[in-house]
Amino acid sequence: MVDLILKNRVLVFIILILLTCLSLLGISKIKYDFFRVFPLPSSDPAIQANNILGNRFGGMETVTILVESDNILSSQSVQTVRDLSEEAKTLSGVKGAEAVVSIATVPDIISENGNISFSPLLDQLLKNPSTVNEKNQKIVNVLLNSKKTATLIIVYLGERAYPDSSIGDEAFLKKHNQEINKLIKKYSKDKIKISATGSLLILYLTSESIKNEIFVISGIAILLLMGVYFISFKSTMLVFINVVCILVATLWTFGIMGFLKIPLSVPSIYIIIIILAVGSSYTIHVISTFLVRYEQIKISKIETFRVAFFDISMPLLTVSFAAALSGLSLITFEIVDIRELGIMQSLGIFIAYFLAYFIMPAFVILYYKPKKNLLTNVTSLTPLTSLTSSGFRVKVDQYINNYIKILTFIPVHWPLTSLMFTLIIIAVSLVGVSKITANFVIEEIAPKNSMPSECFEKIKKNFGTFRLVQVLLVKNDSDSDSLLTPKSLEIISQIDSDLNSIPGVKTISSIADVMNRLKTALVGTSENSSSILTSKWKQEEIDQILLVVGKNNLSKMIDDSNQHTLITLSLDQSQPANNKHIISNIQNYLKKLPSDYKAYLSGSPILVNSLNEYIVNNKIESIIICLVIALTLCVIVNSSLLYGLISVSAAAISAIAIFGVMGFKNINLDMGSATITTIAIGVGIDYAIHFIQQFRNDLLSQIKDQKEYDNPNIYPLVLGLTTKRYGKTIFFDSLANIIGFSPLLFSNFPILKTAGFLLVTNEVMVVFATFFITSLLITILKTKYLSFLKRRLLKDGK
Amino acid sequence: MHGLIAVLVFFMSITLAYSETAREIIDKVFDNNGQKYQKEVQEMTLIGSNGNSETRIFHKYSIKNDDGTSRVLLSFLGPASIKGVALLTWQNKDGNDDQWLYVPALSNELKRITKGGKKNYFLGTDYTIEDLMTEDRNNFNYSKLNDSKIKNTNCYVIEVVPATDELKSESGYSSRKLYINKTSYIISKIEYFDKNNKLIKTLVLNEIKKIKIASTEFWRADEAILENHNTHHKTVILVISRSFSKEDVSEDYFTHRFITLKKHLSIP
Repeated sequence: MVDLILKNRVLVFIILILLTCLSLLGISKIKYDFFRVFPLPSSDPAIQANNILGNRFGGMETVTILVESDNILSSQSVQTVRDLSEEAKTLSGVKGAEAVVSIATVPDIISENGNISFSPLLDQLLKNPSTVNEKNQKIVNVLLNSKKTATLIIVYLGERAYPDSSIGDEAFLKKHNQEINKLIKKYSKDKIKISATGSLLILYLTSESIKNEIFVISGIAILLLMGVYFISFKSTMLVFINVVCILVATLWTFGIMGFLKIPLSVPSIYIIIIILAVGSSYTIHVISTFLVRYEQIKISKIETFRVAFFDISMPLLTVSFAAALSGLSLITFEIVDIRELGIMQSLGIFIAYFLAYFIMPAFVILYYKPKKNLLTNVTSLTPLTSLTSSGFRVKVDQYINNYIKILTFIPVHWPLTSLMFTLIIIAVSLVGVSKITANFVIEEIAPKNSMPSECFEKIKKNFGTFRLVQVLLVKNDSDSDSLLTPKSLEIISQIDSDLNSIPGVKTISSIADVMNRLKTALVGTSENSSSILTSKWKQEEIDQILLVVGKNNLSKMIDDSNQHTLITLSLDQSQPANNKHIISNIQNYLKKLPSDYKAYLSGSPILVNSLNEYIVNNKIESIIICLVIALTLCVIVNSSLLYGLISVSAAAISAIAIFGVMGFKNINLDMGSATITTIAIGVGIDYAIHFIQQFRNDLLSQIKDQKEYDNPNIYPLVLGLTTKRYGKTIFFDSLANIIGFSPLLFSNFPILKTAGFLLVTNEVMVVFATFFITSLLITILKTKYLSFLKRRLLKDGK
Repeated sequence: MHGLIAVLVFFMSITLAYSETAREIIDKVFDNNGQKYQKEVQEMTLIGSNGNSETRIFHKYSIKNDDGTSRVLLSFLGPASIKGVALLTWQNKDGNDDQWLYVPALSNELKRITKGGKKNYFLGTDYTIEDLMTEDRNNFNYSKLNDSKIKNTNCYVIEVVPATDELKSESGYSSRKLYINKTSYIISKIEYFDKNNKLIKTLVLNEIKKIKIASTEFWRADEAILENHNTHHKTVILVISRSFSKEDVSEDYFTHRFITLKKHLSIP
């Protein structure tokens, strides 16, 4: 391939430039998908319920405005809440006055001394809080905190938030963001603080932040890697070639993403870092091997590459395949974002490998002019130490050598103790694993310190943690379709009461409850009122109440057809781990409804619960597939099942340890942390493969005859030799990856910051495990590994 | 030449002198509604955004007092389940009208409605209480805009804006535009604008007829269609019959006793 490129260099240049231009065209097509608040498959029951609910009642997307002051019931605050509630009705996407839910808009119907008052809850709270009846008190508790220092204004954006609606349109979201900010600016005063949160605000801010962050994070990563390259090779040209190689890999990957219509998302930033970090390790491998061989053999560059390829082709191919195929294991996820991440990750790694192995060498041959005394610059592949003064460099070198030496020395000389230690680590990690919970929180997707994120935290602080869930009830019986009949109202009333009795669930509102309260208010207190209130419903009572109150005022509870009604519940979220259990109880109850009623459960806790289940189940599947792929490759490369298992062990144990760290640090399993295992394993086996490959070569070169074959000290000897010759390469390879992943720690997105932390920690653990576990297993299982040597010796007649 | 110019100026000044102001036009519209006794049988149809509709039949009685205030009784006749529901309104000069509701299925007493808020919707229709209140012309500023044509009929276009900041904040609208037939001085269309000056509702009056009683002539619309552009909901009111005769409207109709004795159900 190198010869071909050198012979047709102009053509190759043109093709490369054309492909890069094509990629830029693809990149220009990439858009942000605003509809992926919850990237669940369309077949998911929660998404289907959400769609049905959206069809009947309009979108349930909301923006929640938080008003804070010393006393919400003071005249200035009251006026602000009233004015803000009024103006919120004019926001784009708001349909109908009942779309704004606040203490200034939710009506309370009071019957007093023969009078009926239809006035907002706020009026009742100002006049006499004790007159707010019990059921309305629940709504008050949702909207006003107990200290009366904060109130919520919930605005429903009535247009459906689905692809055939304008509400997910980028222009709409920008306008929405502007309108909210304008409202906040208009009504915020010295003593009144206003903020807002909501999925649409988060989506918009996230998309804007992604665009900025892609450049910042990539820039930091490239600068850091340029530093590593320069320290490694002390050549501006090589730095340039390496940087161009990984940048082109990134551009081509994103270009393909654009043509495949894969949208930009938070994981896109993750893909860039993977390509930059992993791709850079391939370029470092290729160049470093070339430079070492060039100094050793002192022949032409092209001949040197031929020799170097012999050294690295199999290991490089294996690790790139392992990393890429591990990424592909993510396609088992039913979550669209993660599936796409897996595809793009694999693609990016393959492209990086292709460019590093096939294309980059030609440019090195063409443009790189090696300096004299190359090795003093390269210093046996110990890049960072060449930066410092020779005294300090020697000291650092010593520390690194000692560290690696200890990691191999201990398991070789105290195998049983080391084995016990390893088993203890695994056991403790498994304890940590048992503590992991899956808990996706949409507000944590938002950039940290953004208004929606901070507002969410304040709402949690002021109102506790609860989430609203909707039960959509549908009447199937065609003979009597309407839910506004006496029998249906009685059934809905029973359902309301039953749901309220489920632990962790509180019913907030239902049509039956509202009708009961209206009936109470309109009946008032009189001689016959008690008999009317206790008797069952009559159709004329229902119709007359609806006439007086107006059915359009109940449009968020019952649709125009009278066949679909919503029961709103709040779920206690103070212990998210119980969420699944509470939802399961609700679902089990709803399955037992009369046969002519059907119920659908919707709302963010339901969607989150579904998402969490996918993350957990798919995570387990992807880990298994990832390990199987890694094991298969290692077995093929090593031509040995046991060597294959040893190769995978270090990465597998590191992965368990990382999960342990997650459990002990209360890091939730979410879309970010769920995906790191594949890259961790894929990158982790790189070191073990290289180490074992080198160990086997060294073992072969040391065992010349049967006498040495039977020497029990051969393993410690060869392990020591391999560690000395190749240990630092692995160490600094890992360091390059750590440097490559570290920009994620600077991300504004908590989800990426956590992923960065886990990847960096995994790198530290996997290096430890490579030397320690691999040496341990080789030491314990040594008799089994000699079978190939025996065959070899027999073949050679030794 | 000078003479011609003088004649032209003379005629122009006459024309200008006779060009009506917005307030004058509005006063003529109000004069159109000055009958003391009115009885109407109306059919109200509420049409939802998905096409579902419900229809109600009611009688509307009104009587004008000597001080310019009115009393109005709405008595629902159909469908059968809402027969007997009544809404009694006594208009007061200060704008705080007295209203009582009679819901026979739930109580035999009239319930006084103490507070409603002008922005609340009236009985589930697209009309708000504010839309139905008699307008005090001193509370609004009227300005004439360019004339327009509705169904080949020339119309004045008058913009109506609350006169004070307090009224502006109480109102659900930033302004309304009235399209007034130049011949009959009856409103043909009203456009309602929200606080962001966005058109939210349109009321169109059709089937406009001239009515002659003795020597008095005035106009009435037999059909009113109010469309809410936000919710895509419509309220259609058809006047099935009407009378301005004293025999058809008694002062007794507007008392509590008349309603609680269910006499409103037996008015012919």
